[in-house]
Amino acid sequence: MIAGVLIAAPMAQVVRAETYLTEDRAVQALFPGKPFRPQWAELSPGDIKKIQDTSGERVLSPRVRVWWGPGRQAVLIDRVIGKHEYITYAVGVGSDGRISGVEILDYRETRGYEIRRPQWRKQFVGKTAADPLRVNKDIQNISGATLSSTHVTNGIRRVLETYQVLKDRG
Amino acid sequence: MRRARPLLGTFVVIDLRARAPEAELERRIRAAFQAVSEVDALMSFHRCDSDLSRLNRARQGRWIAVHPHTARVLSLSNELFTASAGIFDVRCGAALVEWGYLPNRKIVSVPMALGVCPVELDGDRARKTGPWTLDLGGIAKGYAVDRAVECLRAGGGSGLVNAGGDLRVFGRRAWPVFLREPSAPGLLRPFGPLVNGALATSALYFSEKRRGPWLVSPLVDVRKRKPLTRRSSVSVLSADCAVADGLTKIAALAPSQAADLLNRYNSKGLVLSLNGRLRSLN
Repeated sequence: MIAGVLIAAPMAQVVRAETYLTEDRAVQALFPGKPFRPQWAELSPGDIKKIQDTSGERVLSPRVRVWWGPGRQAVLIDRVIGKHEYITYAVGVGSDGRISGVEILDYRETRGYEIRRPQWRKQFVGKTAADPLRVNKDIQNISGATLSSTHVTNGIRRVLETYQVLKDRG
Repeated sequence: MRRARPLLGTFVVIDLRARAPEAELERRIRAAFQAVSEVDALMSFHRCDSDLSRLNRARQGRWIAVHPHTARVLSLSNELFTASAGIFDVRCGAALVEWGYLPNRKIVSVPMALGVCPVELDGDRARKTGPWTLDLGGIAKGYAVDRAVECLRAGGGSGLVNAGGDLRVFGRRAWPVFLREPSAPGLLRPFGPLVNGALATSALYFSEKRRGPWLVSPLVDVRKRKPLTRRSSVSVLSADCAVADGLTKIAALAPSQAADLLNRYNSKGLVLSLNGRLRSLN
C-alpha cells in the first residue's frame, strides 16, 4: 500500500559538490610565482563562429574568463556540463599556444538519479520533490563505475581556439 | 591537499596528507599526476602514438618495442588471461569499437583462439598473436593508480589516488570510502575504512547504452562476443590497484568462478545488488 503511494513521490535529491581550487589558486598552481591578471573578455559572433568551426565544439557563452600573464601566457576558466556533473576547470596556455596544464576547480554532481526498483523508495517515506536540494560538501571517496571526462577534453579544444582568438587581439 | 585532473579518459583525484609546506605538497602531487599522464600516453586507445595504438596497427607476429610500463601491463594481462581461462581478455577492442565505446579503427572480426595469449612478450618487445584489436582499459587505470601511489609514497604521509573509481590508499590513515548503489548511483553506500589497499569497481550504471534493440556495456565477454548486462556492481579489494582492476572484470563476467582466483591473488570480491544486498564472492 505504502509502496504504491511512494512510486509517485520522487526522492529528495542529494547533490555532491567538491571544490579543489579557487581561480587565483589555480593560476598560481599552473604558473607558480608569475604575476597574472584577470579579465572578462567578450567574444563577437565572428569570434564564436571561428572558434566553433576550428574546434568543432559549441560556444555556450560570449563571455570568457581569462587571466593574462607575462608573454601572453594565459589561464582560461571554462565550464562544461556532463550527463551527471558540472565541472569548472582551468587551462594554462603557454605563449606558444600549447597547454601547460589543466586543473579542475570544482565538480558538482547534478542529477538526482532515477530509482529503478520500488524497494528503494521505501527509504524515502515522506520526502517529496518540494524538499530542497541538499548539497553534500563532505569529501566522499567513491569506488564506482568510471565517469567519462570526454566533455572536458572537448572543452579544452575549444579553450585553445578561444585563446588564439583572444591573443590576436593584442 | 586535494587535486583533480582529467586523465585516462576520466577524472583522477589525488589527496595527500603530509606535514610539509604547501609548495612541497603541490610539487609531489604534480609529480604523481605526471606518472599517471605517462601511463595514459602509453596505453590510451585514443592516442595514435601510444604503445597500444602502435601495437594495434602492427601486423600480427611483428615485434614492437614498448615501454617497460606497457610490457608490465601486457604481462599482467597475459597472467590474468591464463589464470581466468580466458575470461580476462584484452582483445575486447573490436567489440568496443563496434558498440561505440571506442573510436573507429579498422577492426577485424575473427574468432578468438582459445588458450592462446593475445600478446607475446620478450623483454621490452611485444607482438600480437593474431589480428586483434586490443584495449587495456580494463587494467591501465589501476596500473596508473599504482604508479601514482609509488611516486607519492616516497615522500611519506598518507594519501589516496582515485582514477575514475579505481582507488588506492597508502600510509597509516584509514580512509572512509563509498560504493554507489547500482539501483540509484547518486546514493552512496559507506564502505571501509580502507588502509593500505586498493578498491576497484565494475558496474554499468554510467556506461550501458542501447544499440538498436540491444543493451550494450563496455564489459565484454570476449569469448561469446557479448556485453555483460547484469546490473549489480562488483568490487574487488587487493593490495594493488592493477590487480583489483583486472579482477573486477573477471568477477563481474564470471562471479561463480571468481572465488579461486580472488583467493589466489589475496583479494576480496563483493557484489552489490540492485536490491541493496552486499555479498562476498570469496
